[in-house]
Amino acid sequence: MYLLILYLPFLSFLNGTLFGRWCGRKGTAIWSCILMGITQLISMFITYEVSFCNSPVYIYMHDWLKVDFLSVKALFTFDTLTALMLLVVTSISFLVHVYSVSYMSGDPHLQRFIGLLSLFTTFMILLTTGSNLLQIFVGWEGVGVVSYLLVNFWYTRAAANRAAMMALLTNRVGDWGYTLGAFCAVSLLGTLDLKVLFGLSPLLHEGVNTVITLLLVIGVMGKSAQLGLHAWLPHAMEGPTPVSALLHAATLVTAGVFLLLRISPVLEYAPLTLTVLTVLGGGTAFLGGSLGLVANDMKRVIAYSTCSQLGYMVYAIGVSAYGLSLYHLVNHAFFKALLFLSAGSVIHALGDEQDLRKMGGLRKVTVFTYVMMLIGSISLMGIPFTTGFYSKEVILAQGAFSATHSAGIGYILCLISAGFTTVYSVRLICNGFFAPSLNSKKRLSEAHEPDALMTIPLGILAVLSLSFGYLSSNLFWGHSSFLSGSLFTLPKTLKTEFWGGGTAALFLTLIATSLALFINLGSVKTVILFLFKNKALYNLLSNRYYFDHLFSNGVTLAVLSLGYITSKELDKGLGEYLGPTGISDGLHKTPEEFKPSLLKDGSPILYGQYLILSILFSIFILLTL
Amino acid sequence: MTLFIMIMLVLTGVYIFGKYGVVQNSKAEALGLTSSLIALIWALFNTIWSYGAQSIILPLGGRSFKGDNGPHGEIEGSERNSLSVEYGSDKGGVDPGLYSGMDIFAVEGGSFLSPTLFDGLTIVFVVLTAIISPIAILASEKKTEMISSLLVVEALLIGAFVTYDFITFYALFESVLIPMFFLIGGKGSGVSIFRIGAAYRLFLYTLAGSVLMLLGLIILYLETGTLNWYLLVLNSLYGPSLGNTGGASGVLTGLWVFPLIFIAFAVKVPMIPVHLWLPEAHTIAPTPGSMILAALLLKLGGYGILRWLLPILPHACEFYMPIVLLFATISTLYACLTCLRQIDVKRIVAYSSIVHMNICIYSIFTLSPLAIKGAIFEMFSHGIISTGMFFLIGVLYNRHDTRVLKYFRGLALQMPIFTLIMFIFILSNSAVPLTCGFIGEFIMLSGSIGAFPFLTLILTLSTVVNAGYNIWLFNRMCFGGYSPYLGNTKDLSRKEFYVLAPLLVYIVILGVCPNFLFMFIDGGALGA
Repeated sequence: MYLLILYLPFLSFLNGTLFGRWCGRKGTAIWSCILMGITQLISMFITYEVSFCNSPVYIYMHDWLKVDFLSVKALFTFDTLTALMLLVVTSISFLVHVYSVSYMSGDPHLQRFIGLLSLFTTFMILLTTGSNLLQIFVGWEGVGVVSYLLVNFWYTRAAANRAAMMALLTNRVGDWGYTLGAFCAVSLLGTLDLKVLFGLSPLLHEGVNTVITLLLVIGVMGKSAQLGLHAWLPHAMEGPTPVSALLHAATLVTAGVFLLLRISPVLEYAPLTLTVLTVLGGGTAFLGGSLGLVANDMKRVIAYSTCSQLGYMVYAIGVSAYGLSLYHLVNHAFFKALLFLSAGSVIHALGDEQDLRKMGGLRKVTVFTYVMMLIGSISLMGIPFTTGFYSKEVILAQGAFSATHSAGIGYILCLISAGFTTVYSVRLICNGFFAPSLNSKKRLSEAHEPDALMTIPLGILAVLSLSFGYLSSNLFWGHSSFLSGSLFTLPKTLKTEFWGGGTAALFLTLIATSLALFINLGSVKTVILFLFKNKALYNLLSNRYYFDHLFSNGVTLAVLSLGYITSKELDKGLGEYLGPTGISDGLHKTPEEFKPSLLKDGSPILYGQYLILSILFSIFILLTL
Repeated sequence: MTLFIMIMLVLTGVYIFGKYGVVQNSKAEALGLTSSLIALIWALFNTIWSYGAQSIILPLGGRSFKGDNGPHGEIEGSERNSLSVEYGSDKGGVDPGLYSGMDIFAVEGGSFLSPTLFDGLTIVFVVLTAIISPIAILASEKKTEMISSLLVVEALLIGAFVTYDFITFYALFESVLIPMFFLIGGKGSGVSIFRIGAAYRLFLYTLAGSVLMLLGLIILYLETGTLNWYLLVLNSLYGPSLGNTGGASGVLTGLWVFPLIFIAFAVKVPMIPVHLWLPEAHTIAPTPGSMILAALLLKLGGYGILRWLLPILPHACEFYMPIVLLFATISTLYACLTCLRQIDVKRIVAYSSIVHMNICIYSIFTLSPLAIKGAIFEMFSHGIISTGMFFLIGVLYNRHDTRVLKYFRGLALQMPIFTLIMFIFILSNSAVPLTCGFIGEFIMLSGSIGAFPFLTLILTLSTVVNAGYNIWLFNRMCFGGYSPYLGNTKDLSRKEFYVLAPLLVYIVILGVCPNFLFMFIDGGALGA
């Protein structure tokens, strides 16, 4: 029963990619949606049994790897953390499957697309159920690879190729950190098993915990697009929109946060890592928020907001509020998937137009999409009593009450970012729906509401974006023992109410909302004049703080030019000169009278004999000395 | 039995060549396939037998060489079989489990080749040889002279892997060059002057190394009076000349001998200053030649180090460890960077072979048991992966007569099955989990990092670049718009698929259930 959750999506993948040709488009769609639906029901059952009935399940299959002292088990963990992640992954995945049947209906490769979405779900489930670092890494790399294929789904487009490769390689840098962390765990502790790691960490020297967790944090930076390794996320929007909704909003990018939550008992004994995480999270939140202000591609705006929300989650982990981080992860998955899917609906309506500046006037044409977008946005902004409000405010409150300096810095950055969130969300709504349309009249007249297969997932997500936060608030904070089995919980849980430290954020949000409304409802020129009088600032933001330049022109070019040195100047140059070509040329150039008689006829095999004889001779002389 | 199999392979090779001459003949192919499959069955039978026999014998014998058994366990073990217990227990750090199981298969002496050895280490390489050879024969398009060379190479390699006489090993190590010389010089691609040049490069580089090895052998023989593996190991443990109890002169001789033998293996691996033969030989060699060269011939270097250096000259290994590690690191990074700038697809795969093999050498010389076992696994998996990669490139070369990357683009549009298989091989080559490439790399590096943390840290940077050139290669070849230089082509033929299918199966099986191989590598998994 429990392992079906792994097998069913995999079956759907096999069906879609291998037998899609025989099943047909409709067959594949129906079959995959049914399988994913069953998967979701199973995950609900698992959540009920594991989380609400408080009975974690561990399924031991066999020894996966047994060599020398290292033994890695194929052991699947189902605890509350896993169950909640599974709930998020399978429900968003199911909705996205249904949505993409309609969204991708014009594509000839629908079967491959559906199959890859299912494969992605499989790997995500593998990741969440892993009980040791290696098993998690299987899912971790797997989602990266499938993400490469999905972003590259329209593989003839050069932009998609570049984006996919950038995503894969940036993640590979993160994986380098992850694997180093795992190597350290093997060499220092002799195990990869997380339970053993948790048991050992209070007894170990702080440095050991710090080294292992800091290296894992590099992996998290890659996967969850944290400051420094974030540049791939906005580019990954080149993929189809359902991919952005499933991978780059709800699940894949939260894998890093999930890893941090999973190793929370170790993190708690590595204070330095926590400090790093607060600054990293705050920085990412600020960076994502500020870049969202100037992005013009609708999907990129949402991508930057994902980046900034991931920053909140990491910040929450940095201040040891693991439950709240998970809470925000779940909430964020719902409203961000809603935002992306409704963005997809807008793009669909406008005939693949993604540029915000060319949108506008859609409020009266596509009312349903407008409402959905609005719900997603207010939830993202954290307007009181929507889903986003409950988690974000509490994270900020927790940050405000934390004592350390780094938490304070992170708090301020997150607070400013909350303001940014509001500004770009309002800008998105205003530009997309209120502003006078800059699009051609033909396009606007052809704009239409999506069909039922697209509206139903949107509706479900909208309901969750409005109500889930309130309904589940008592599970995640306060005195609930809901998560204490799977996450590290501080013995003295701060009983936080939302009128605490979040108040400032709330005020800021409201002020920023009114400000942004004021600005955006004016003409576009005013906005630019008002916000970006300072051209240097605007350039800094629109060049994405020059991170892309650093990576593509700095790092990549440096590596390639090093490669030039080794391949052309050393390999084909010096190596050949001192090696084969040099020797043979030298022999040819030697005047005949200086050549030993052996070499006179110039045959290479004789050179060889000569070489060998001379080496033998010289070594024998050396030995006899 | 080994001798019989070898003679059978050689005779089949000679018969095919003598009967059919230089033609394309399907009967010759069938004959070659049959005899190499017989060798495969023999290898698998031996493998299973040694595994079964061990699991029966060991509980009775009670061999225990694990540290956790305490001092008593070690003493008991040493009474029964002093060899496998003792060495490695001192700070040489060589794991005895690797060489376990040999007492079962130590056939009595007599003829020249009959002393054979069938321990965990041998099993891996013999099985690799036996599974790659039929695939290479199948890939050789029924060309008789190629098939006969391949059969001879297989026979010689099996001999080199099973023998425990150093001079026999040397002779076989050398004689592999002769059929390879004909394979590359005779059947390679391009103008004959390039072919001959590449063949000479392979020949002369290896020969130059081997001469030094011969010298090392002579010194070793003069010092110890034997070239038998058992006796040499015993000598390194207890003997006065090379071992830990030896005087200054003995240790000094070890220090003399080590570089001489090591250079021969380093040429074969190849490590950086002596690697220039490999890209040339690979580019010029015909597809089956490249497959054999990458999958098996490079492994002779790694195998040689594991068999003839680590146990015999443990102190010299320790003495030279830092410099070897340094060279291996430089080689790995150098080959990684060079790989990025190649435009010949075969050269890319050739340099990636250098990368993988040098990581193996690095791990072996950290002398950590875990890393050594990982390195053996990695060599096996690299054999499979590089075979497949070279074959895929051969498929393209057959269709388009070019290997230059710039001409290929958008192959996914015309060859979807090719693209899918290429993708799996690329993933495996860049060490993605659930493929065999990952397991080897992970185990190797997790074993090595304890020995030299910072050097390993630098070495692991290669994994990032590794993924870079692999995925870049794939992206440039298979994705994008269809190249205007290529006409319409067919996807993989049925026969080509049959060549690739077993390799895919090995990749996935070893990636998902690595224990199938680790069971043999890790003697401890069976006995203790």
